[in-house]
Amino acid sequence: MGERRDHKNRIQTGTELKLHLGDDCIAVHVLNISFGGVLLGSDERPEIGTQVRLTGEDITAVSGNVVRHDAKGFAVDLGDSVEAAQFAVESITSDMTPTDGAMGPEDEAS
Amino acid sequence: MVERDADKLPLKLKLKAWWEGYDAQEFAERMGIGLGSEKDDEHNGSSASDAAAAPEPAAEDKEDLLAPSDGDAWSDARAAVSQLIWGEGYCGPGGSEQIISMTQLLALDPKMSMLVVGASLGGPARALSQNFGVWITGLEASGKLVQQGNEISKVKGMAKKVTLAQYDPEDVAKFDRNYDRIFAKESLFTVEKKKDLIAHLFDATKKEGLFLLTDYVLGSESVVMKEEFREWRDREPTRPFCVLSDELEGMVKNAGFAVRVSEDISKQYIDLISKAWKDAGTVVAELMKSEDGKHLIDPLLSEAEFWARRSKMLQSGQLQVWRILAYKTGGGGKMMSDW
Repeated sequence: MGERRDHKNRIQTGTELKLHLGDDCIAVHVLNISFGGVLLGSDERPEIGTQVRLTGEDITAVSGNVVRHDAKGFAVDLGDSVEAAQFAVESITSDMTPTDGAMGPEDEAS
Repeated sequence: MVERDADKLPLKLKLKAWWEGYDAQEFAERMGIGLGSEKDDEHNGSSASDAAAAPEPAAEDKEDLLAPSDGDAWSDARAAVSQLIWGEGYCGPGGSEQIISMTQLLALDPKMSMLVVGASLGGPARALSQNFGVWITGLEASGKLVQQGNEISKVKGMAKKVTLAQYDPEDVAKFDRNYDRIFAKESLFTVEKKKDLIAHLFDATKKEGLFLLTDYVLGSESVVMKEEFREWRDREPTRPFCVLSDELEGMVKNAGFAVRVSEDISKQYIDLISKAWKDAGTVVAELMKSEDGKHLIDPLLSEAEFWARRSKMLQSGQLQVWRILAYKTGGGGKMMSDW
């Protein structure tokens, strides 16, 4: 029988986060996310196996390990902790609160 | 012996194979299931030996994340996580307080009958019935929501005052009775033949009756050409057929209603979505306390994605939520604003 595929729903969000590597901190953005893992985009790519910590505004902080690099970014395994689940849902919903003046009929400005 | 023609496999089996991540033909062989018709599958395709051969699917595999395999846009898991976010009986923005506030202009009273189109699990209808004593029939396209919604009404002792029924919004025959008030709650935007449905709703409105409509509309004509809009449209569980607010208002007028209020309530909806999802982290923490709860994390994330996308469309103005209040002439509909 063929290998079982992973059907986890990978959700694209674009959420801006900070990735902490020891004393260093770099800006990253979420390319896609699921419960247990996140693919991050950034100019810098920590080595595979590196333990990192992710934080964001109103988002539960979570730690994980870099497990893969690909053309777009790098993947971090976050495990299946409560924090990982909270991190996922809060990352997905982080843009639901509008910033002042962000809303309006799209074509009005043009 | 299983034939090598996966196309002839029952749909349910093919979907299960897909979900499990296997080739359908391989899956059928593994399960010891021969080719059968859809009818066979409906009857379970299941001899005792099949049942024994079939592994018990994990709870998380029993349902698709957003929509189950039976064509209903709602799965048990989706209905469950929606209520954790929006409240018991609710599948979207607007708890009882907001529903009651929004319907103040309808001047509801216990002698009145009301039709709610897009009743979902009946939460809005029960709130109105509890608060105003009005008798309500709710129409809902999802059989799953109708079944669960009626169960909730029964448990709450409201089975007689709030009755939900399944309907096909694209194929509505003339309603068999008339109502004092009709409330179509974010339900017409997924209906292709809106004009027909609104005409039937007009016929079903008593003289001097009121029609309240809240719905998603296009922010502008050019929106439909945008990639972001198309992506949103294509990823909605039920395909939207959005029109401009002017078009929607025109359909209401053409049906025979006189429009009293026509306004953009997008900001209110954006706030409702934002507030409801603000505590999603707490909901997740509660779910993680049990194995059954853990199985709902992925459906919850899918629902979060669904509402994040809608919110984004509303915030960008590509999509709007519009409220129209109209009345059927024949003496002039009496509204709170007339008093």
